[in-house]
Amino acid sequence: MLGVILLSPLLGAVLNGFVVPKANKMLAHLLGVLAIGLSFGSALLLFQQFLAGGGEPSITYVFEWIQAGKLRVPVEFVVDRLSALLLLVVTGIGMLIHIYAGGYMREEKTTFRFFAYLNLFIFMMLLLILANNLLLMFVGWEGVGLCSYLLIGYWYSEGANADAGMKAFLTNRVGDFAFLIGIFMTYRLFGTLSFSELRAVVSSSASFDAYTLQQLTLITICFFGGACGKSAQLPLSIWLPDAMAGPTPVSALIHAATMVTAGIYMMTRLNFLFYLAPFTMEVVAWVGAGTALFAATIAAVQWDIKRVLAYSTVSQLGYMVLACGVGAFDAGVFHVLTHACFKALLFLGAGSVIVAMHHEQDMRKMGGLWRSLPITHALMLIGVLAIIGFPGLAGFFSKDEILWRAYLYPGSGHYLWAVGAFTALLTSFYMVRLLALTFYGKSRLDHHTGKHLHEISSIMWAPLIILALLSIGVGYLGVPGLLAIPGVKPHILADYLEPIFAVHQQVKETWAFAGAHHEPFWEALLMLVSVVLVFLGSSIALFSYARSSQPNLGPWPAPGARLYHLLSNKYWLDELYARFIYSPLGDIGEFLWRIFDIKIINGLLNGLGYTILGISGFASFKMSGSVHRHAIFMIAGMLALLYFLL
Amino acid sequence: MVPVEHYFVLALILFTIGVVGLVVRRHLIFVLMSIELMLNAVNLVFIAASRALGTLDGQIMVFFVITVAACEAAVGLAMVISLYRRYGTIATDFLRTLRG
Amino acid sequence: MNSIDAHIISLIIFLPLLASFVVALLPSLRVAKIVAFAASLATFIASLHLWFHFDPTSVDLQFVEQLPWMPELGVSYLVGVDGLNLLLILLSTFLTPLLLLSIWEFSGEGHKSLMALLLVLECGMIGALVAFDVVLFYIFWEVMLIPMYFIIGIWGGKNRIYATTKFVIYTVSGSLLMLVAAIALYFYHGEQAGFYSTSLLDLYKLAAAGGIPGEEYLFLAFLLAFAIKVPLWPFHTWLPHAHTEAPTVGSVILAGVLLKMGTYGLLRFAIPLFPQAVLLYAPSILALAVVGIVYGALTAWVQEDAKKMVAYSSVSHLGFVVLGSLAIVGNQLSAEALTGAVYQMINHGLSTGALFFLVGMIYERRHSRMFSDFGGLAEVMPYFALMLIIATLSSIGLPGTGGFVGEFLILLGVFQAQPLVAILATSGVILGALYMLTFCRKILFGPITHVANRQLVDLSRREYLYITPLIVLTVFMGVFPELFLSKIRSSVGHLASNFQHYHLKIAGVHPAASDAEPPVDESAVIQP
Repeated sequence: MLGVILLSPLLGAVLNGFVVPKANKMLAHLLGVLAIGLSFGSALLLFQQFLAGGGEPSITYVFEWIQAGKLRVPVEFVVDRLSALLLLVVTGIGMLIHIYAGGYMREEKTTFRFFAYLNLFIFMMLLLILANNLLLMFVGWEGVGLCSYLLIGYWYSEGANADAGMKAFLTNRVGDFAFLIGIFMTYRLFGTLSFSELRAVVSSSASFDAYTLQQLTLITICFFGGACGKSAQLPLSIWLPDAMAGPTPVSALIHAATMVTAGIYMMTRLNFLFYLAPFTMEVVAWVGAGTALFAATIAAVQWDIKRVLAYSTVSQLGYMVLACGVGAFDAGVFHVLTHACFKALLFLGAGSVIVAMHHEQDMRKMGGLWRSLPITHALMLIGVLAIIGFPGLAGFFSKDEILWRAYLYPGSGHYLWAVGAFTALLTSFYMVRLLALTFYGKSRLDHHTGKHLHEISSIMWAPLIILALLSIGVGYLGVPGLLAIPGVKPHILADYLEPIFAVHQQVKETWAFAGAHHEPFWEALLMLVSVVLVFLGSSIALFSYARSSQPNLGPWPAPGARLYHLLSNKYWLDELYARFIYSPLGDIGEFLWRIFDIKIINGLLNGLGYTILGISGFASFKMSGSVHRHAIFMIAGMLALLYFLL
Repeated sequence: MVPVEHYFVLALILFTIGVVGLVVRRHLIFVLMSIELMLNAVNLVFIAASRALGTLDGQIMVFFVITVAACEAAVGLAMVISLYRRYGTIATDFLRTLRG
Repeated sequence: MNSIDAHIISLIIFLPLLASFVVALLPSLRVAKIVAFAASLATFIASLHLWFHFDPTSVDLQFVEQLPWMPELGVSYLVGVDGLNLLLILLSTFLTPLLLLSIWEFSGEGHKSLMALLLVLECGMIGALVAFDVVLFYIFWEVMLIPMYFIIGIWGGKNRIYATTKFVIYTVSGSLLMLVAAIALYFYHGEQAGFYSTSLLDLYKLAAAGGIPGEEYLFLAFLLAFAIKVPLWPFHTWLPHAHTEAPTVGSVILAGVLLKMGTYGLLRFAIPLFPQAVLLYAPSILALAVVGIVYGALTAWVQEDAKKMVAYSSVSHLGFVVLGSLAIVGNQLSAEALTGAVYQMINHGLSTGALFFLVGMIYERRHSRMFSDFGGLAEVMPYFALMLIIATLSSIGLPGTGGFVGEFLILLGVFQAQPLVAILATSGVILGALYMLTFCRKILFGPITHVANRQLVDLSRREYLYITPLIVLTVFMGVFPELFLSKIRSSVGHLASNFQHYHLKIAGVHPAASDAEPPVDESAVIQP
């Protein structure tokens, strides 16, 4: 079963890459969808069996991968509650996006390449999820990075796209560097890289000596560094917005629903290490909250429809990381789930708008589209409502859970909540702004585009409807205890995931605040506050962008002008990196090559050579090259030798 | 019976002629011939000594020398020919590429 | 031991040499090509015998052939295989047929000579790898140099004479010092053991028995020879010149095997013979290696010439190998790092060899290697692009390619020994991605800016034939490394844990028997 799940996307990738005739677009699409469909079907079956079997984790050993010294790394897959769930998400959402992509990429010449990459991505993602040791996870981790690189640069003839791909890969590499160091340290401390063994070691004991704890803090910091790269957290968040250079289905699948959540997945997988490192958790929480706010502010001033969604993704990832940081890994996973549904929906919806607009992404040139694109509009509306946390939709439940758990976090919890809540306000503002600029108000389309505007084909909107339904329904997996909805059990997901969090009982108790059973009054109040904030943000956006016939499409007026400038330049983070890291490195390289290598090292050695040449030149000034003279010298020498010897 | 010293003296004379020829002649063919002459002078010593001492060692050596001389002549002449083809002359005065 | 096992190595060494004579003398180029290729293929197949019959559980020297050579001097013809050289032998025999294939349609002068020289080179490489006698090793070491000198000097680029002279002078000055040290070892052995021997096995015993006086100097002499060959920073400046000027085959074999001779020599000679000196100098050498990794990466990044970039990347990558060879944990070498080092040698040979081949392909088409002349090739040469990307990824050390396994093991091992060094070296992983992706970006992506590039044709069938095996093997080594690691594990473990009292014996021979002096040949020799 596992074999089918894993190998069918790989096979799809290989067939699409090497076998399928290049011109046959239909076949490429069909094959791609079939591969992932098979995988999804098997995953469903597996999940069913898994639940029927009581949800006990099972480990499948495949073959020995690396063995050297004391290190032993087998290819081993684990199916437990976490990976089984994520398996469904990746293959399910992946399948819907594959179907959609067939429509989206209809005008492309090399769809086989596209679907080959996409299938390969699914394979790598599954590897990442199913791996039972850090190194195998790292294979998937880098593998998805590779596919992301290839897909961002899919339209490589455009230099900027190729650059964006490179930027993504390199930024991720910085994170991977930290991840690798984390792996080395783990091996040094525990002598193993296997999750199950690590877990057994860590959860068996309640207290560790100071050295181990200190090492654990360093290790988890390193792993978090890796997560920062992949999940686009500060300070490595810069690559994700640029990654939107890829085709929109790619943005939906890789840069919203699946790959970017790998960081959260990894931290959840290693929760037993993180629980033992409170300092790291504090850092994680604050980085998450900071990123959420940081990206939300930038999203508020973007004009490119995909960029808004990109920054929104960074911001939502910040929420998930925040959840991990406050020890609410289950809430983080919950948000991964809901976010995968509604963000995929939003991206694909945006993709439909872009297709309808003939690849125009600037929202300043849209407006009033709801008349011509009714289906897309309805779907986008559901997506937006879900993400801003409109009561009853998926985002409401998952975001509220995170905020509430952040609030309960001892120490800085209240501040974290405040940051999160303010971000929620911003979220509702920029998402409704997006909706308003695109679909409402007066049409700002140019004449030509307006005439050719057309609703998308059914192959594209059919998957969207499923996603929309999921965006509403998934939330009911995590209904808070406070809102007793008849017929729906509260905390289904949290209860389901409970066995994943395997630390010693004593350690668990120090994090017991994570359980949401105290203070129903405060919980209700905070929930109310966030709902109010959502309405507030939405109304501001509606008021500024939908109602007026001439919305402000330029910089903000005077008091906010400087802020606008700051935000629209993304806090100059890119420029900072370019100025202080990238170009100095280049200068150093140039210096090392042109001055140090050629002049100094080479110069010294050449100098040595010339000195010797000079000496020998002096010695040979009498050498005429005449054969006779050589012969005379030779004979004289021999005679002299003879004389001395006899 | 000629005393063995006479052979040695003859060999010395031949060898000296070879050395002088090697040094003074300008023509590569003559240089080669001078070398041959020197080798043969040595051969003469070997033969004479071998006869005088009654052992075979010297005669065996001579065979070696003859073999080497044949090779040397063959290679040497081939080189002379290729030098001639390349430079159009085999006068040693003009072959000065070894100049330091 | 059957008769195949007893002579297989000599066959592998001398078959290429024999073939090179035949190739040089054959009048017909067509026949010569076929003979050369067939001979190299036969050599490869013969070397596969080693692969299949090698006993991976044993640490002993296998397939040994020992003949007295200069018995008065204690020099013997002693060749054998263990886990350290097995894979390198296979790499050499694997690369040579591909090289010959790549020059199949060679258009310049002296096609036959080039093939003959490549075969001589193969003989030299394999000989140096299997030699277990210092004199024999030295001779083969120099035999490698001569064909390379001509390959660069005759078929090279504009500056070829400068490059090849530099290459030779550098290498020779290192190897002469090594010769001096070897002679010193020889006399010391004569003094201590009572008989003179240049057999490495005897010298190991000597080193294990109580160290060699003045070993720190002897070590430095050996180290210099190997450091130049590797090349270890700052002895690397001959490499960019040699690589840029050399023809494609020259670059491939240089990067593929010749550079590995340095690191191999380190493992085979410098470390087990002079363990105390290793302990003394290891920190400084590690520092040089780390500097080389970062330095090579940064300089590679700013190059404008594709071949120079790959050359500098070699400086960086070989730094990893040196790093892995000298990771000392406690009183042992780190087995993980050492395994990685041996593995990485093979990987680097494959991936960098492939990169040089690929750069050669576009050079053949456009007669330029400047980045500014390319861009957007992915559109016109999709399969070329695919191959280049895979080779690049392996060079970056992406999981799933062999490069990852090697680099990871090295860094993991080094981290156990020197965390800081490992962290610095790991930054090379980021820089590696930086320059390699820049390289891909400049050649493959972006718009096509030169009209001439529009007409480029994708890989021909022959090009496929020689590049695909390299690429496939690279990926294969990343997915199933255990197949290879299992072969080298025992020997590497043996060296790692016993490097301070290393000993090696011939498989199937009892230690007592091998102690005996080799029989002295009494046939008549003319006394001087």
